Amino acid sequence: MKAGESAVMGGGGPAVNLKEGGERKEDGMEVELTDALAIDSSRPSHVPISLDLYPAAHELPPRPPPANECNYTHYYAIDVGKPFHDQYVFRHHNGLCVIGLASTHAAFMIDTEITGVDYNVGKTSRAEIKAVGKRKKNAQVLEGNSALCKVMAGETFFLVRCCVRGTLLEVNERLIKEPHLLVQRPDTEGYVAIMMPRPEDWKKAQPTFLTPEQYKERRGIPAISDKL
Amino acid sequence: MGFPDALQELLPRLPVDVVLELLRQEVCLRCIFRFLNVRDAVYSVDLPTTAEVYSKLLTSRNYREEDHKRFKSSELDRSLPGEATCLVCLGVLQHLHPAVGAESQADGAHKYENNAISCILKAFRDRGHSVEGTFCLEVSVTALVLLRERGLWCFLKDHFKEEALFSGEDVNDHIVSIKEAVKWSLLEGLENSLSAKFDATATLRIALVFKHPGCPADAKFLTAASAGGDSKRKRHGQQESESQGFAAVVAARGVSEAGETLAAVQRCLASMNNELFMESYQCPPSKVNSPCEITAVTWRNPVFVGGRYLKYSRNVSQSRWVIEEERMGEASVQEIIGDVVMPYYNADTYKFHAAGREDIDVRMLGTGRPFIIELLNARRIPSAEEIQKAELDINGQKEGWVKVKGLRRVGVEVCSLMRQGEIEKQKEYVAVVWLDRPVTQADFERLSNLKELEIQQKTPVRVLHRRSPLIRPRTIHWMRCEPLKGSDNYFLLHLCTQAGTYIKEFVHGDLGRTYPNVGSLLGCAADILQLDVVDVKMEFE
Repeated sequence: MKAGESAVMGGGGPAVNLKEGGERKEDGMEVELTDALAIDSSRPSHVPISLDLYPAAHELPPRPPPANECNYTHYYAIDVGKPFHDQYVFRHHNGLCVIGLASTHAAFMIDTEITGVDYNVGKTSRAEIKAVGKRKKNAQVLEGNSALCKVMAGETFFLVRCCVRGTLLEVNERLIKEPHLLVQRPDTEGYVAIMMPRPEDWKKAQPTFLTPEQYKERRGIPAISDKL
Repeated sequence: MGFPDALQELLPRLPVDVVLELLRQEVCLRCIFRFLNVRDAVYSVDLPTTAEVYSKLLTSRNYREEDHKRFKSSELDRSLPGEATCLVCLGVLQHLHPAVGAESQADGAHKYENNAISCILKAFRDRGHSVEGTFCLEVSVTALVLLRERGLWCFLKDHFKEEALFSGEDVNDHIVSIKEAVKWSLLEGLENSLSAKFDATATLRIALVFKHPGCPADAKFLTAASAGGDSKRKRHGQQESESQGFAAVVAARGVSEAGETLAAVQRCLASMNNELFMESYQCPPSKVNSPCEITAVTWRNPVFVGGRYLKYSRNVSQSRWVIEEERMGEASVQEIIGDVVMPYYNADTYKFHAAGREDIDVRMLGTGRPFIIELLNARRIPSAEEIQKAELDINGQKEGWVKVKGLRRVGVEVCSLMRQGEIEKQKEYVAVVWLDRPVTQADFERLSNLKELEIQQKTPVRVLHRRSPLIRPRTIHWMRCEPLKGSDNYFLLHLCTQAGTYIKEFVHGDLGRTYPNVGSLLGCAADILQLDVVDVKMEFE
């Protein structure tokens, strides 16, 4: 092993010698490939990987495109049911929609802290009926204005709605025990539910939503702000 | 034509009156052997005509004088037209070999052109399969033969009450089956014609199908018989025939309507005893005018090539991926390898199987991932050198997206190996991970100290639309961290995990649905810039 390897490389498992060859020449990759192909019958205990295959520090973007941004198209529904009941609908490329509270939701504006999340709305608890199997048997089909849960803040509560008609695949059960996630990580671990709308239902609902730019403009959030 | 030694030896051992009676009934020599339970090499011998055998028997010393007087020679001539179609096998055992010698060509060229070996050789020419060492023969014979065997058996039982050979009840237990007789009669000649050996496990299959248009008496019996079975039964019969192998499927395609499937006739025959059968069917069976039609089809069972592949592109998927006629990615591993390999086999098509898969934007480096290509109905089998050349062809492609190593022929057993590799074998990855705060030595220690970490992984959102919503426990066997020089927030994470772990989700947490995840372990937000598979821990060399 060459110098420059970090001390933490001593971990378990076969060592991967990233610095194979050491020098960073133009055709480094080519050399590596030929080497790799030359080893045929006996599997190598060391896996040669050229560091050239990984970006140098100056090539790295300041941060990777966040997983919840590059895989989703973000939409907002404001004043859902009541004024300032603002929600987000993050639509994954595969058509699934993650529903949650937007940063301008009334629940975040009042002085009282959020004390709990209650999925016990409708005839049965939303958390109880589970979709089963590939075909999502047993799943409930909910309307756009159907309630998903109640966000409790002391004496008051806020109803969170589906925003789009679809199959309820999953609710975020962690919120029941950890309602603070709703405040701390509203757009990741604080999501409320995952819905699967049919394409035609999505087509109907989509025009009623705002794009992030429209949403920020309506709520007076400065466009430069990255953090919601 | 002279008498072959095997026949010379055999004839005196057979009950001569039975043989004479069968010859008069227009039963062919091989069927006579079958009914007398002869099981030796005599089937493959080039046999003399029935007339020659008949006169030979009459003049042989075994034959008693008084019996001889019973037959007038005029009657003899009338009842022995020479090469009439056998009323049991319907010509199946008569027209196996090409006619030899000028005289038989002169009187029967048109008739015997349709012989099994010529048909098979023609099938090879038409379908383009080359023979490499071994072949397997599957024979499918019209169900009428079963019916006629039963008919003749009942006649013989009745006619030769004293003959111990015919004392048994069930014809199938006491005669040589027609398929066996075809193989005994044909294989030697076929092996010589093809310069190859018969092997039941050979990938090269020959389906030899004998079909007969039938005669009125048989049709009447079969219609009555099939009327007895309900439609459910008939459907069942069809399914059965499909599971009976390639020859049966070929046969079923062309089989006539009247419930004539093998299984249906078998069931029907089994359902009646000999007395009942003789009431509804003429014994011995009526004579027939035309022999069976012979069809031969060649086919090759799947053959496999395997190796390990490396993928250097983040825009090449593993399998062809088309959404609404729009291609995703520049190419696929499947096509890059398969399109090169398939022409070497001149196959109909191919299927790609690998020990698991990686996302389109994930590279496959290091040892590579085991894969196999299943070639369907290959016309030829390339040599080891040609397969080496195919590997060089793939590796020489200028794009360099995909490379293969250790490409070679493999057996069918590797299919289960691939599945095993997919669901059981450990995988090693390298991820470029980003944290929302500078990376510290403590972070590295925290991660690398975790061994056999069990995580709970809910079906990732990105595949939740097509996969079952479940929580899957997965093990991260070990992790190792390495700084990316000059970068505060990035580091390289090496990790080895149980098969079926979603790595990207383990890094970014997938809305907290994979837990614990890199972010939750380090108390910050984590994201993944890029990912590579560096080892699939599976022996496949």
